[in-house]
Amino acid sequence: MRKPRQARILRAKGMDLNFLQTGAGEWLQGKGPESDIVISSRIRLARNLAEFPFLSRANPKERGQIERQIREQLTHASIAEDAVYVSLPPLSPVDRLFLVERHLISKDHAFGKGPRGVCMGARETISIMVNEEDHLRIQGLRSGFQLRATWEQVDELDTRLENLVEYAFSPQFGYLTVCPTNVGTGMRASVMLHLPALVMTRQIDKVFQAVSKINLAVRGLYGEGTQASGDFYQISNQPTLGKSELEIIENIERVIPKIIEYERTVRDQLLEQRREVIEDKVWRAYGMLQTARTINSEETMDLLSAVRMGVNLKIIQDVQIATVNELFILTQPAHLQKMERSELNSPERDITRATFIRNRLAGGSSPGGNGGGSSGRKKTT
Amino acid sequence: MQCEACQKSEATVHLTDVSNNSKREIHLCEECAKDQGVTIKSYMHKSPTFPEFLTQIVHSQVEGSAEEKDITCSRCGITYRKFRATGKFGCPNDYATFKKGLVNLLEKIHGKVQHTGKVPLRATDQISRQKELRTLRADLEKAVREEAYEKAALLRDRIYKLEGRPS
Repeated sequence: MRKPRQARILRAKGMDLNFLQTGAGEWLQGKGPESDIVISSRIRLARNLAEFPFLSRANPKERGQIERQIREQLTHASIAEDAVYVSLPPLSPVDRLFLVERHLISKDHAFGKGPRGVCMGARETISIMVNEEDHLRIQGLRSGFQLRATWEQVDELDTRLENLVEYAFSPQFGYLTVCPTNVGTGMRASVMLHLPALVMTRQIDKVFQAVSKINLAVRGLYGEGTQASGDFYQISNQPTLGKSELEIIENIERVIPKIIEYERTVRDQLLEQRREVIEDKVWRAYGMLQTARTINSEETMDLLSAVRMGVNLKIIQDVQIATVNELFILTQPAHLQKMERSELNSPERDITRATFIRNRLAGGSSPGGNGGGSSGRKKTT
Repeated sequence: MQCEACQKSEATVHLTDVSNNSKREIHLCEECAKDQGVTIKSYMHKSPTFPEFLTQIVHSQVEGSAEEKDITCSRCGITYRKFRATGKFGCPNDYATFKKGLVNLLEKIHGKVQHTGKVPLRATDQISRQKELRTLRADLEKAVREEAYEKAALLRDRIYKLEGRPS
């Protein structure tokens, strides 16, 4: 039995999210099974308290009561090592976006209204959104292809919470949610894949077609309604009712290895038939990132994607995969502004981004492993 | 999703704007869309294509009568019609209130209508208690029919106890 540990509550204005800033969450470490292609595995459960209306219908007073009740229970339940509860309304927009960029909260949650918050472990493998679309959104996130282990952790946490609050549940319809698309298990299981070769050879559409036939959805880097960026795609279950959690996971587990194999086959073919073309793309991307003086977010994602593939194909040997993985997150707008400790306009961000990438790539070793005290700071030149 | 212009109403008009080789998605409520010169009415009032017409017929079959659409949840006060317009329930009780129309909708979304996944421990107790109550009530009826009043009294006490009532 784990020793209960109370979550710290961070609510003060101007609070410090810097405890998260050294490197990126554990799910970006590039470890875990099949991590050359599978970035991360994610499970989220939607839950609501039985005694309150849904947030779509709750008045401000009820929203406050819901948030307070869940917050109190969360701080008593041992969520994770060094769990922290962060109330969102007092946070600056940059801090909120910072949490979105790290996949700890959704964009809707960041810029929603009323009392709401997020409880998360310091390793960032667990986060619980309070008062998002549903009263509770419990999320587990891990590096590589490990849906089952992620589910086990989320399941255990959900069971612990269920003893502290009464969930809205019906024997026929399962866990009751605001949207009928989430009812039943309330579970969305998703796997984030990096598929540059399939994109390059324009075969990615075949994957989409095949996947949609077996009731799975394809989404961009930041989930629902987002564009694919950096050749990242999330594959997730569509129906949530009528199948058990493990059946849903098994359905995804059956198809992911096929996509992984497809991507690897195409990479091998490209290397065999158009080696110079691939090497050229990878080295040019690496060269640009090492030398650019100003670079926007979109170009960064594209170039990092090519470099990431180059590292996995051992074309580039002096960069660690964790370094590249982290750069995808650390070069985003809110992260750059947190590092600089000031608000930056878009041209300023592009300069800061280019400098940061140059320094990171010059450093060579993985910043994630050393605790990264200075990892976030750019050197002033 | 909120309207990008007024940040108040639900966005129901979703446009994709392609200009200067860049694509942008715009989400507006009907009011703001009108303000910005998007003529929704003209789309809405044109006669339906054959597949649209067919869908409308199927919908009307599935969704039942106008009367059913006016069913109101006693707890949160939303109607089935409102739920269908927003796609959002107002409270857990809606699932029971709108059950009739809902079963068809859930069948369309999920292909199934019976939950088979995880069950909260509290609900496990509740489900088995309800099952036991059903059995006991049937037994009680039978006992009364057979005029076995002593047995009936015992059954009644057990029912009261399960229901949490003083016997």
